[in-house]
Amino acid sequence: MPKSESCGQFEQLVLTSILTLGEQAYGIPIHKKVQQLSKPKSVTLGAVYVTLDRLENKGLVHSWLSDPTPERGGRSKRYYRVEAAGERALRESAATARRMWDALSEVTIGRHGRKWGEAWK
Amino acid sequence: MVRWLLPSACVEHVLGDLQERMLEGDPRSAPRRYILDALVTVPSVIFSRVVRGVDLRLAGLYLAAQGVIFLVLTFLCFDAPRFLQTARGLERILCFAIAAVALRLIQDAYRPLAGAPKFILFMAAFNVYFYFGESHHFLGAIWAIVFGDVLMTKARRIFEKHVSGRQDRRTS
Repeated sequence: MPKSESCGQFEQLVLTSILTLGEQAYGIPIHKKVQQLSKPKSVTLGAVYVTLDRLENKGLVHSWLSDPTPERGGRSKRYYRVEAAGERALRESAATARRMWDALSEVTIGRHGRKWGEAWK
Repeated sequence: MVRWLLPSACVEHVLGDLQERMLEGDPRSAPRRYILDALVTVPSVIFSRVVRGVDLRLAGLYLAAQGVIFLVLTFLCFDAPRFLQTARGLERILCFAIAAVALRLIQDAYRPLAGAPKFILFMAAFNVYFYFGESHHFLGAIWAIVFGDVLMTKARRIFEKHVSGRQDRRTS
């Protein structure tokens, strides 16, 4: 099995946004989706660009320029697609998060023995 | 202004995205929102391009090239022994060489440079300041600009040939 790259939390958010947006995954929609997923924290467009560049450097996403679009002053859009390595990295991150949650769910707190994180469900 | 500042590889989609954001929301506040967006986004994009393109081995080659240029000029243009021994010359040469290399790495992020010779101006001002300030030797400053740039460009070409040559041998 090929060794997969690890992803930070923000990288996971960006990868998730690209996957959920499908064919409409370019700068602005990716930024909006990441903002939605990271609420209440605010996210700048610049931070999204930096992360997209880093993911592309790691080989987790692939990008290409589209044809010019008249509504954007005749400028192209840069679309992104998650590569197989990116999907593997995201799957591993999700599996790790699930294992963490399962372990934390067994932790009880207080004298009533309430389960940790119960209020969040 | 934003187009002039952006590296050429990013101009198309970043300008388009900024324009698309400007058109969303209240048209009365669109110019202010565009300026705020650009102020936050452009430095991030430049930083990302610089980091993406930096190779420590190449930066080392640049430092060696620029250091050699400054040392040669020190011996040609002013009292080298006094400068190197009593005026902490070596440390100052190293600091100036590091700053020149940093500017060169930023300039590399703008490749291809057609229509965007932004940092050559900074390099020129920087070298003029150093040599004019230290030695009042204007020709020395011009020499530093021209030969510093030539030597670093040569270093880059040799590095790219060597690195791509090794990569080809590895994949064949």
